[in-house]
Amino acid sequence: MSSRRFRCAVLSAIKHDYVARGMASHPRFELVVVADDPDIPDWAHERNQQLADAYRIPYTRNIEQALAEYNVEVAIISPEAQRHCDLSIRAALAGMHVVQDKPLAVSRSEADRLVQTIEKSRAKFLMWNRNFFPAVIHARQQIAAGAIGRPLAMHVDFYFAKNAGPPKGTRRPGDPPLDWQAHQIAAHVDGSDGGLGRQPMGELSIEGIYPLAFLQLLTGASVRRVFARCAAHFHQVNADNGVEDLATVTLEMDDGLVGSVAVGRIGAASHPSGGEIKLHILGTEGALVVTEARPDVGIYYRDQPVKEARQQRVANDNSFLLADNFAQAIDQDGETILGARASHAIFATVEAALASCCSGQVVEVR
Amino acid sequence: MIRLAIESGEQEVWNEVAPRLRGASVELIHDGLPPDSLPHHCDAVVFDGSTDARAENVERWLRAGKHVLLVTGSCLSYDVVELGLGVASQCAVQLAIVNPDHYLPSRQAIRRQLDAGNLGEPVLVRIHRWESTATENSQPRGLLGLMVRDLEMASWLIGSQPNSVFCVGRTGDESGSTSGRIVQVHLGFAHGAMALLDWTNRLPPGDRYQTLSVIGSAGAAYADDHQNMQLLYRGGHPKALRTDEGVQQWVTMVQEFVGGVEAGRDLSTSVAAWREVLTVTQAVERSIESRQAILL
Repeated sequence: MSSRRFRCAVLSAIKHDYVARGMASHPRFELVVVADDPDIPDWAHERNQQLADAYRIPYTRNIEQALAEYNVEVAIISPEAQRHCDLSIRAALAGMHVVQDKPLAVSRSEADRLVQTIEKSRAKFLMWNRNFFPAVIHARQQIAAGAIGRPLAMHVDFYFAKNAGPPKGTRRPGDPPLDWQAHQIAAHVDGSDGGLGRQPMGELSIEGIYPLAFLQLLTGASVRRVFARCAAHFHQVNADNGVEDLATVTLEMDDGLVGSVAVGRIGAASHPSGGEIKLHILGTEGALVVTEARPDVGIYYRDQPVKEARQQRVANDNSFLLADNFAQAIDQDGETILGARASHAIFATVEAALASCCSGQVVEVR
Repeated sequence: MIRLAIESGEQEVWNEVAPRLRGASVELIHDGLPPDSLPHHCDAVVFDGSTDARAENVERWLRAGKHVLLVTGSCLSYDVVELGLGVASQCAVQLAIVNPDHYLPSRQAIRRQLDAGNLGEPVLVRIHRWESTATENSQPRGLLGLMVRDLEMASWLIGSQPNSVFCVGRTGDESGSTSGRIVQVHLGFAHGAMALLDWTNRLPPGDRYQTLSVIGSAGAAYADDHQNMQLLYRGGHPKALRTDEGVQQWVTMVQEFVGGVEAGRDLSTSVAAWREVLTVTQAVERSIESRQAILL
């Protein structure tokens, strides 16, 4: 087993820094520099600087220079969504392996270009995901052991019990619509900034990667057709910007496998511990019902902050295991648990689902 | 005191229900009783859905001047609805058709919270109903009997009928399968509400599994068998045993019917409402055949 350490450049940490922190949790990955383009706004520079300060590493306002001067092999990408592909492609072209935050891309052309670049450059690519949460690993083991036979149907509920600014219906007559990016920037304080960027994005676009990655992991099947419904029911910022905060998708997959996904940011009041995330998997020989949040521990006390989860997840090794998976992919010239092409398939499913929401009809996944 | 005849295959359940009822006495009868042995001293008949109640039985009781409470099941059709409404009116008796799931204590709790406005507007209903392959022969063959309760439940909770329907499914005769079917229905409602209903009878012989989530604009409710499992340890992996909701469901259902009959309330609205559910069911059947979404 190799112990070679990988020097990592964090190419923007302005959306979330959990990807960089997650990679740094593995002893084989060392953050050595934070870098970004010079022309980003001041608030973005500040966030990058904060991460650099936390790890006592330099922050450089020149990506190409940082990649050249700091002898890095891995780029960790977490800017606004519309810059994901640009930074990942530039990193791959510079010979880096790439770990990228969700979503893959904001357009089909960018998604295509990213996959082509990654494959041509032979870079390893990991889309950050939740496939190594303990309950998901357990489900995977059960399926691999034949506990339920061959999967026939799989359903994922993926609800984040989070707010996103004022509730829908609270904007007073005459008030201007909420600005998407301004809201996301302000929401960073409490971590509820799901879709940072100029372009408004709904929950399916932002978070759909997670449940669809579960489906891909546990069934191995590709999605062929979708029917979807979506709407903004909870948050004024979603309603004002015409993007969904709740979506349901019916999926038709290879070999007659069927499934569904319900995904939403449904308000902090909807669950005492961050949200109901559940997998229902039916096989030829049995079925699994899995709560993603297990194992957990119940903690309740006087004057407990409202936002503190009453059931707290424990033994979650997802970040370490993702990083470990990435290291193995580099060591063995193998595929990561969610590579560029697999991420592209998820992007295509989300794209088809959004088209179905608009048309009200079934849409083929291209 | 209303004297109820219960057509049921669940004697133990009704033995528990009977002493809990106010203003009603209970007598169990069996499916297919010859006309001359009907308990004519009864005032009303309850078909509890555990037997394959036939339309002609319902009609016979109505014509005999008995009020009828029909729990939705295999005999529900447009014909039953129309015939039932006509005959009940003609004979000046009451016919009620009910979805027994409304009366489950968990569903009643959700209904109360919805009615109180605590969950806001209901915007998503999610139901999984997994039954055992052992039920294959005891269930109606058509989609109608399989899904009708859950279709009605979704509309009942959301408060309107769907305006779009999409359905996918698998039949049990594919190579490599054991038996049983999978049916998955996706409903769209006005104002962006939606429902996902998943039904199968592919579980191995044994317990069923059921879950209902209701997502509202201001809150959510999760009634999940998963949460009601107890563990039995006898070596190896433990068994999960469900603590079920008991007989309260049947008590509440029958008590409401008895109260309606006693008060002379018009129960025919409960029957007419099934027309719309049946229209949705037909759309489900058309969708599964055409593999396309159906607009209503």
